[in-house]
Amino acid sequence: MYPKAIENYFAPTDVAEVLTLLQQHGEQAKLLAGGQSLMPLMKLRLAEPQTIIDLNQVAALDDIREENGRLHIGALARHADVAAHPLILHSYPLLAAAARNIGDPQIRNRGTIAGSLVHADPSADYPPAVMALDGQLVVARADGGTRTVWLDDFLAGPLMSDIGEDELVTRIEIPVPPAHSGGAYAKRSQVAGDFAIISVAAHIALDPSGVCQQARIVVGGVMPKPGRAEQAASLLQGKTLDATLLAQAGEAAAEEVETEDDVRASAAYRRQLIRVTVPEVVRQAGVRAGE
Amino acid sequence: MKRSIGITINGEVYEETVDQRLLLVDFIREVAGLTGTHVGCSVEGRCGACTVILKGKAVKACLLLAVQADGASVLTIEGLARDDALHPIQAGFWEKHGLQCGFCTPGLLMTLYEFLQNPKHSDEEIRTAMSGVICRCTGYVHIVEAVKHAIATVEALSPQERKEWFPA
Repeated sequence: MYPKAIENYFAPTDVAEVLTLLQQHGEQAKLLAGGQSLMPLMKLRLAEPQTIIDLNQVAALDDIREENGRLHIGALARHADVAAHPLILHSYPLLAAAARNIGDPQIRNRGTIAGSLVHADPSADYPPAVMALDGQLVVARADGGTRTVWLDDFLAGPLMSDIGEDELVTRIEIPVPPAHSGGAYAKRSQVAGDFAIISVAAHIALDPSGVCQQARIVVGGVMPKPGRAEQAASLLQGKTLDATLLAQAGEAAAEEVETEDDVRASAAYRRQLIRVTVPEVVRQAGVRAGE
Repeated sequence: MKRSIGITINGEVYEETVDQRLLLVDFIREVAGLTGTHVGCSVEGRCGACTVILKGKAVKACLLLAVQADGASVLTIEGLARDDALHPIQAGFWEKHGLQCGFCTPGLLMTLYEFLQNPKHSDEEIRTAMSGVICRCTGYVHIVEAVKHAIATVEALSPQERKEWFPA
């Protein structure tokens, strides 16, 4: 299968050049990062860009480091690099787990974090994980400005995100988690490498005595975008995470997050998966927070 | 619309003026004439039969444009064996009968090429490593045996021999 004819192909080497090209070609152009979603869409002719701006030659856009109390992940960081990065494995295991769950090894070698977030598949692994870490995107504009946007606001709906024709996501920022905190992520899918039926990301902060101070729980695989289980999270606040409480949180999350039928599963099955997966993921996050 | 590119495949440079929409897998098969790299699903990159090594990493050649590989080095299944000697990964598949119809085998071998550069792996890691290539014949059991055989061979190699078998 072939994509539709591509009129212009550009492989710029720095961000300024990308932004200039976007200004010139924005409307007809598509940014090509890892291409693991865009290329299939082009072959299916669901995307027919006249102009391709290939980001893979842009230098220094795949950096991963902590700076001023925040984790910076370059837009072009590949899933395989995020999954194996020592800093992320140590301090952001929930993010490493999400990256490790994406597709298969070949896809993880190419796919990029910003590509996944901009693509905004509601069943993708990164969106709930980055939401649970209160992640933001830094977006550069062709007019020279930049803006920072919460991922919650950036995700507009299924395959829709708040990115302008003249904009480029340059990095993801995540606050460095406080002491005594930890996160976990799990996905339920039909077969290896598939998108989620549902997924759960949780981040838990404990006080020194082991009481839950703050909890964030996000459920993926639901429409129109991953949903925060606020009531389930508030149940945990001020309490010790025992089995009864975790089961109650699972019930609450299954109740509050809206589920729909689709080709992968029924709404009822999704609710059941949320009910049993939330306690497991929150428990793991709590254990890590206590370590 | 068209662009002149050059891609080094298995050490040989192939230069051609191609449609910008040409996929890397079609460059390999139709321009270079190396038909060992297979096309299975052809759409979403699910089957993995087209896996090749690009700049040292296993990638699906049906999810890349040929123009993206301009100036780069690619290793395909044809580049694995040396003279008459099978690559240790190929020898493992030969010894343990790691294939039936053989359609997915080039994709599997190239995926494992990256994986076996660091040969210490558990059974589960072997299975995870193969999750990007779909085999509809074997049930994977013989493939896992083949990979273990290959791992033992690679571990017994001297550093110099390892470098020769894994140049990319």
